[in-house]
Amino acid sequence: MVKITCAFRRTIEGRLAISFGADLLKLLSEGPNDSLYIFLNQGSSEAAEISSDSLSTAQILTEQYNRVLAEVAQQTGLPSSKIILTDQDNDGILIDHASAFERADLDVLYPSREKSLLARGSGPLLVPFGDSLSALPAANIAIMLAKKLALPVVFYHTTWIDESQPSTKAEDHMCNGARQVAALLKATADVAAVQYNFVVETADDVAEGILQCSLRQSVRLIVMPRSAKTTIGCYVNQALAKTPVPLLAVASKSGRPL
Amino acid sequence: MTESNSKSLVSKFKALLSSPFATMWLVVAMYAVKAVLKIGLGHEINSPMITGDGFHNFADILEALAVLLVIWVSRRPTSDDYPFGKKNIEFFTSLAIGSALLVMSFNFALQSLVGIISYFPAFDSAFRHFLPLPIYHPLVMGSGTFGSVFALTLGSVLLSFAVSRHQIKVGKKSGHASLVADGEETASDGRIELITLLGVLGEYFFHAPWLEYPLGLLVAAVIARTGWELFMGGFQVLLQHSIGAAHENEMKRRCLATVGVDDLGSFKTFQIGSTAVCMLTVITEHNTSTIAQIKYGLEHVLKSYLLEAGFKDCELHLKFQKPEPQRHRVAFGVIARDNHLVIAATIDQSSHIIICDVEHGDIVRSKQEPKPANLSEFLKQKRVTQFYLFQAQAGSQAGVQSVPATSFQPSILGLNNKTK
Repeated sequence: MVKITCAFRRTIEGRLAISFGADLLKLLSEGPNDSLYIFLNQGSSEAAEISSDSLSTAQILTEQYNRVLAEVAQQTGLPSSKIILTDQDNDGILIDHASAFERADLDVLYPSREKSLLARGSGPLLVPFGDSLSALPAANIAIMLAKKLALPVVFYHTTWIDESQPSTKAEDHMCNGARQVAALLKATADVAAVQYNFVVETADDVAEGILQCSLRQSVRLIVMPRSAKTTIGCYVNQALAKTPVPLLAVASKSGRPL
Repeated sequence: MTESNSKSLVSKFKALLSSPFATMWLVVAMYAVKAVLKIGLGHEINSPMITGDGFHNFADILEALAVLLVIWVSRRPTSDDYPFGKKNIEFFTSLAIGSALLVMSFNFALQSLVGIISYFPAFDSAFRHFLPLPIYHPLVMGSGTFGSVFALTLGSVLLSFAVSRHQIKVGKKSGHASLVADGEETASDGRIELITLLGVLGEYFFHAPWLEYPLGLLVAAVIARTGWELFMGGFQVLLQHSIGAAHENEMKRRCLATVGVDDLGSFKTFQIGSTAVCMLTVITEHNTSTIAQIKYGLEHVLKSYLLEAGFKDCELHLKFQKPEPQRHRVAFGVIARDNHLVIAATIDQSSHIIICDVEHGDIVRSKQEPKPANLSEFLKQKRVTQFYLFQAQAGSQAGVQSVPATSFQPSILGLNNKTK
């Protein structure tokens, strides 16, 4: 099972992210050994600053560990044995609001203040794609999640209008690169036996097109790849800034196999 | 004439027939033919029933002309004085036709009852002692006139049902409630004509004209139900009744299934013409740029539902509101040194106190003050309700709840680096 890590923050968004992570763990769980990972920077140097003769640094760190563990257990209803505090956030999926904007090197799920993935009912996952292969790692994650959760996948593409093309159908304006990516996505979804459909349109704004399609289709999670080539105007950041739909931003160098 | 020309003529004729105005002119023509034939034949065979029905059809012509006028007025564009247009005028027609059908059903039921009790003379005279019942007119028909009466009545029945069906179809498609109401009235006419036909056949074949009276009571009940529905439909729209609890509950359910919606505040619906109007307050903690997307999603969801439910259009007025902020103040004892913060373990360790305004569970403003000499008084003055230290001791600050902080790291507690 994919490792789910939530960053511990004692804020409303932090609490929602932990609830979202715990719920996702329950949905994806394959056995009794699956645990929720909580990312906690220990803060040893700060602990040393407040240590005293009666309270050592080690005691302070242990106390913080126990308090965080108790708080997460109380909030999620998970037994302490299924919660693992870690100072590693670089594998699996990190669920956190702030890191989605700050960490392009991680696969970060931005819950967008939702308490859980399917609390509002069932709905598809959406994978936007362009003309590069960067969509494939994201599609693999989406297909894996869709298969486990028995949800359909929407592959979304918005294209610039080809002025030489008289057709009014958006599909006819797709470039060859996008067609090839679409064929690969179709083949991957077919192999996984996941239900899917394609939405192709000529939206004025790419990020808004993705979000509006998600809202029209009651999408429960957008799985979006970051592009290593984009220098200015990253679509993921644009979408993150205004999405009410949870969004999983997949790092451009995601370690997931194709 | 080529095949394409004839196809184009057929499609033009179909388009003409689907026009509300053409449909109502068709209705006028139908009633004109019926009125002339029935009044003429009624006089010919001295039948007050058929003559009366002819005059009733003449009144229907006036009603159809009134509906034409109403449709024309309802199509007038919106103006500053009438921002929603004049679509609601159609529901005055529903109210009027509904009332007329209720009166008609009462008269028809009364005539049928009079017909039934006429077969029991003792009861008839007993009832007439204390009830002013109308005079009973038995069906007067000779064998020589049966053919023309039968053909006229059967033709009227068929015409009424066919035209009524067309009226209701065009009315629903074009969103004209008055056309639908008039179509229902035409169908009621057809039902009454059908009962007359059964009476004619009953007398001719079985010498049992009484058959029409119990059936007449049944039809009167059907007409009364239609009349009541039209009346209440018009009444509810004109008094801006909600579009119905079932619709509202489903709309609320769909709104709450839309991402970003925490709750719904006020939720009001009403109807103007065939347009549903919905005014709702959405409770959400999202910011403005996200709210624009939530609004798009809600508009899509609600519009799809209302159009599916049979409304021709909808007007949505969405207002967004944050939940109650539940404002309160908390404070942290901290060690602050060279722009570096850490939550202190004890009061003695603290160099400063950070006073925080909390809204919606998050710190929205904080201010750092040097640790005062009288901390309890200071916290009370600042209206602090909870005071955090890493090793807080209960009751250490009078009147303020001392709480152990989960962590000693400010960033984890929502106190970011900007806190100075």
